[in-house]
Amino acid sequence: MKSSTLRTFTTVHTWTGLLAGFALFIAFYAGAITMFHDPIDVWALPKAELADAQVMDKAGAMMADIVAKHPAARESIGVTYAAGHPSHEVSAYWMEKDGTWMTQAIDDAGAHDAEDHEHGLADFVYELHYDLGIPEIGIYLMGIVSVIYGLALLTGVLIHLPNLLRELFALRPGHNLKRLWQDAHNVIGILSLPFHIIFAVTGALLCLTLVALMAFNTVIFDGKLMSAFERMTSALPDTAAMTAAAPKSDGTVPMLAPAELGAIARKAAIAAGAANFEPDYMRYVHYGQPGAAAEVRGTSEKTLGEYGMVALDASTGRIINMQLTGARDANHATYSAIFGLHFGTFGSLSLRWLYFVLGLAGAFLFYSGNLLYIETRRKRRQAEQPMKVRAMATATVGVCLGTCFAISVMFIANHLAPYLGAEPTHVVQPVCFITFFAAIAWTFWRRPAKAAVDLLWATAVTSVAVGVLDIALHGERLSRTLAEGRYEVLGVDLVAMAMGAGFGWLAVATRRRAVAGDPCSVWAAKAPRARGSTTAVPEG
Amino acid sequence: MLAKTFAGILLGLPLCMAIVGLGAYLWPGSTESVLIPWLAGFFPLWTVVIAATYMFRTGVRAWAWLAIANVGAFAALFLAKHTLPGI
Repeated sequence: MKSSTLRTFTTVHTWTGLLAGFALFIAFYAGAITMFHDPIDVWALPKAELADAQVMDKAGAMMADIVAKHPAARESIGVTYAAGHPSHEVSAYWMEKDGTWMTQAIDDAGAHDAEDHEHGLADFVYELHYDLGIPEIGIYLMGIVSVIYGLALLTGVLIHLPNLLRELFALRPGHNLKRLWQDAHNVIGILSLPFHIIFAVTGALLCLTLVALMAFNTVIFDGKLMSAFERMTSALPDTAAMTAAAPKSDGTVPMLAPAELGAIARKAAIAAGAANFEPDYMRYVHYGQPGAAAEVRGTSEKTLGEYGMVALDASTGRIINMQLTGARDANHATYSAIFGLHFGTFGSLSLRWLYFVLGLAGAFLFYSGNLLYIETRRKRRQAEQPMKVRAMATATVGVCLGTCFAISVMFIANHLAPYLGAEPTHVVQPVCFITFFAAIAWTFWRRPAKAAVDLLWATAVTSVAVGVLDIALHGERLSRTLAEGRYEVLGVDLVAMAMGAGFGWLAVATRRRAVAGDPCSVWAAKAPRARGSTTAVPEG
Repeated sequence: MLAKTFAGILLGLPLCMAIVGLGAYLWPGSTESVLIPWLAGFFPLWTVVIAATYMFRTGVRAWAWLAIANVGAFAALFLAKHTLPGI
């Protein structure tokens, strides 16, 4: 490659990294934690563990009741299965005539807007992962970030390619800290490249599906894509055509309940060769009318795309169609694989741990990228650093470490809220944002070198406290889950404490650099003697 | 640099959409049967086109060549739509 091209790609890599790095740090840190969404959900709400089998039996009556009260739900209404998870809610979803999505959980008295959901701890961490907690536009923002991230990856590989083999496993500790950071950045970037490619591609697809579909529908496929997309991603035949073909009636056909349809679908799927089939969502089309159909979605193991679908006649349970692993077309296989790859559901627990570790490594990749920007542009012979270096250091410490701190504080707030007379689900979101912005303000006030040490210590202490507090407050719950052979609660406690220890180690290392490191750096704790001073200080 | 960036983003977008559409229409057999794999390829393709745009010597050349590529791709797509079964 010509050196000018190499320089161009380096510039592109730097700028795409700067543009997308902060959002990606938050997405990867929150995403790594989200790998354990269900254990965290169980951990967060000790009183809300549901006896799911009995709950599911009530779903049939709930659906009939909803359809009677909301005629619009007749056309299409879905319901989630508890699927053996103590924390999964059984809720129905449908669209009213004005286009708003409504929901009603099994214990709710009435329907409410699906957008007004409460922010449980685990759900909110997941939300931070895909929209940074920004309503409405956050998800599109993350879609654009995913595209920029793809560009950063591609240019990163291109500029690293000439020296790839020579420098891949070079990790050179020593006086030159910048080279150590550079080596660490490169080796993590290259070794986890397949993982990052997966996220750049599937992240953009998941966030921008709707926008991309509408664009392709209009520009390329002359308005025929939307209905085709429904056929390509569902096991049901064209629902619009079904509406047209169905004879008009008052709705007198009795429907099989979700639990029964799930059981029939499961039996059929296993007979068709799926390793297993755990129904997690189903929907009725034309509820109660002649020709009504149901589509049961379930997860199977030992396949890349875990989601499979079985379409049935909703009143007789006759199988209409199946889209399952080994017996599905390219569209369903790709669609299912996109989810499987992004959410790391195609393997066992060890794969989730791998995704967790790679997620944290990804967060490190973006953090180290910012540090490299700072190290490349710092002045080597003066204590006072240029504005852009100081600004970058402030933003990096405030946003990245502020995110880690805010998430840990949120876990504490979740457990303390009931003792202060508040609902955990009302508290976690405001606590997270207040802590995050307070951390940024703190970084401005203390300057990044000292603020980094403060925030790392604070995160270390709160993370250890997350585990300790849970054991102290809910020790009885912990011993009960352990007696039942369930380790998720203990797991969350232990991982929180282990991460606390990790943050403590980072705090010690950062403090050492602030005190004993190069004074000509934004990371030196000692404030420069005079602002804007250009007094030469000997290097080293 | 900025001119090339915008050329890659603004002209690369329709170009990649046309290429994906063309690929799907020209695919032997039913277009619908391979549509999602083709659509899934859109974002990676666009990323590669944006990166490749930086290889042009100047911003003007990038805009000119990408514009020509767009015209060609959409003309081919138009032909394919009117001669092949489609979705």
